[in-house]
Amino acid sequence: MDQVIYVENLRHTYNDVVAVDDISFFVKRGEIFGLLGPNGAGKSTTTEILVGLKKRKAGLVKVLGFDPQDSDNEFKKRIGVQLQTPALFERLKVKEMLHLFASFYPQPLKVKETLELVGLEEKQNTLSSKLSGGQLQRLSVALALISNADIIFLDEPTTGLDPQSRRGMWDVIEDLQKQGKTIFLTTHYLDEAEKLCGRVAIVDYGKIIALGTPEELIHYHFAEQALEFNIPVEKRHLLASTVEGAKIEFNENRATVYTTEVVSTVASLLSLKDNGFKLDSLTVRGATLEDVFLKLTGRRIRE
Amino acid sequence: MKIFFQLFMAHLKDMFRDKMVLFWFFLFPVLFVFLYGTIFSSTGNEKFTISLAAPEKSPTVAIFEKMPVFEITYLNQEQALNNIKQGKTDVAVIIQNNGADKEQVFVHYKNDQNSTGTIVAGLIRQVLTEVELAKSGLPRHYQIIERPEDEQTLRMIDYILPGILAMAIMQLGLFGSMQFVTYREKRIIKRLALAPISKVSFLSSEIFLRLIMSLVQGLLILSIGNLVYKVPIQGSPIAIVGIILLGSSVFISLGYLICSFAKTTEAANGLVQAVQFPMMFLSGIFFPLSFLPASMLPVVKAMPLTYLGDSLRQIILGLSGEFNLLTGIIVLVGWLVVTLFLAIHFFRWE
Repeated sequence: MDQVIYVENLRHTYNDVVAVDDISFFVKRGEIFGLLGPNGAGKSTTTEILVGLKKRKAGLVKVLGFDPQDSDNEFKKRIGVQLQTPALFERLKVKEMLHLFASFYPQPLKVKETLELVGLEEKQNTLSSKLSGGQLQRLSVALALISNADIIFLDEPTTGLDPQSRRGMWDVIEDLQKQGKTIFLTTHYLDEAEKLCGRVAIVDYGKIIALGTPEELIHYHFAEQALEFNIPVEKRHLLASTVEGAKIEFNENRATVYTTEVVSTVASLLSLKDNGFKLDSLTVRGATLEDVFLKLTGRRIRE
Repeated sequence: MKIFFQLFMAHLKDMFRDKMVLFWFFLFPVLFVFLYGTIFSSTGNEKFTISLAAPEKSPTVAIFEKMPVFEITYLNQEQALNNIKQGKTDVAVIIQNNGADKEQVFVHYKNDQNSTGTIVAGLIRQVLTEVELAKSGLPRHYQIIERPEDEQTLRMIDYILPGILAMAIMQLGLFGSMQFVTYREKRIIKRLALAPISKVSFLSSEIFLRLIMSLVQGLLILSIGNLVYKVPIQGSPIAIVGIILLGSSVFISLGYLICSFAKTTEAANGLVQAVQFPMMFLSGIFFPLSFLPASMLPVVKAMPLTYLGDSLRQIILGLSGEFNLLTGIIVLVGWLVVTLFLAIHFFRWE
């Protein structure tokens, strides 16, 4: 097994605040590895340590055999990075930014090709100060891609994109993997992690609280299916006695019942009909990473 | 080298697409040249205006008319006196015939200090005395031969033009360095730190651009001064390029030093203003140091702009200045060494 990123007991603090708390993981060559967690969980700090922007306080880090914090240009030639805050020359055109960055790397992608990948062909002559937030984000990703490097680091690549552009970006990332690139990705979108990542580490308050493929994580934590329906807050108490033993989560007037016995649970729920209870908008679905996060932390990720 | 060139082009485009940069670094000094040039380009050979009221065929008028420095307006007595009251003329001259070739010449002028009227009145007295003397045929005991020391007269614009160039070089160095604070603030430096390039090539390409811009400023300012206002350029091109590059290096270095202490572009702007404003007015780039009170001189003599302005003036005009040229250059090199050392010491990439 070829590990291109290896992290052991990594720890980082800002003054007295622990940002990354003793985490360990590895990333295999050619996989899409996701760091999933809410804002402030330590994702960006971890990324910045991995690419050599920050010096860690403790732990061991190897990326492509290099220690990033003593890294030189040989290391930097082999990583392409997109940071969360796009940082660009304001008065350079999109294609000029790309030409500039292309000149830094030994075997860059073609500018035209990169523009097409991220869907910015139409904007190639626009000054970067005139781009919208989503376009800036795509340019920022393009600057990571043009390196044609072995590992591409993407820190929240789809934040600020509209749903259509997000799907487009997912296609780009999957294509990269097909070309044999390794992708290290952070996100707070559970659907994104579930769709893209071969393996996911869920982080919260600087710790990894779960690590595995999305399927593993879901099956490990949830043998159950999730039943969701509307229920007025004042009727919540009725549920507990009806679906005895099942785990129930409430979110405003919506309830989620996790059960292995979908049919009998639905049947018992139907028996509540006499109490003026209508099971509005009932859906049955398999559990998702969202459910895993909720189960592990007691919170929703976007709260 | 390829990367250096690409970075240089990036700086160039980023800078020149900023209209404010074009204004402050190029148009502003040029406007200064035109402004001062229009006000101060007179050579001192201008004409004196005389409002004249005289009888016809007055011999005195004939004498006046032979004087090229007099610009004569023929009026009646009342109009002439009115003109002097309203300050429309340097002197009003009323001539009355007293018969038999005798004329009385009344010269009216404003008798305040520095008034041109005093000079013109003196001139008229001198001219008429001279004519009188010639007519009388009396022997002469004194002969005056005038030998002005200056081979050329230094007009105000000649003095100021090198000063404007010094100002432009200072502003380019000091304000130009603020761009780096912006790059730092906008995390462009951080982003570039992730690319396989040396940060030094990023910085050096920026400094290289500044030095080239200072030469362009020099060419622009000196060309306009020379072509439009006939400011004589005596120095050799190499010496002029050399002193511009030295001055520019001093202020670029000082600029980076100042900017090391600023987190934001606004803060940098404040610091730069605080440094450049006193220098602009106290360093004698626009007027001779002798205009300043003696108590200010120690401060003035510590400022690099004082020496840059003086050295530029000496080299460009080929005249001697307030200081020995070598002294000026040594002081500038001293400033460069000290600011460079401190700038490197306090420099922050992030």
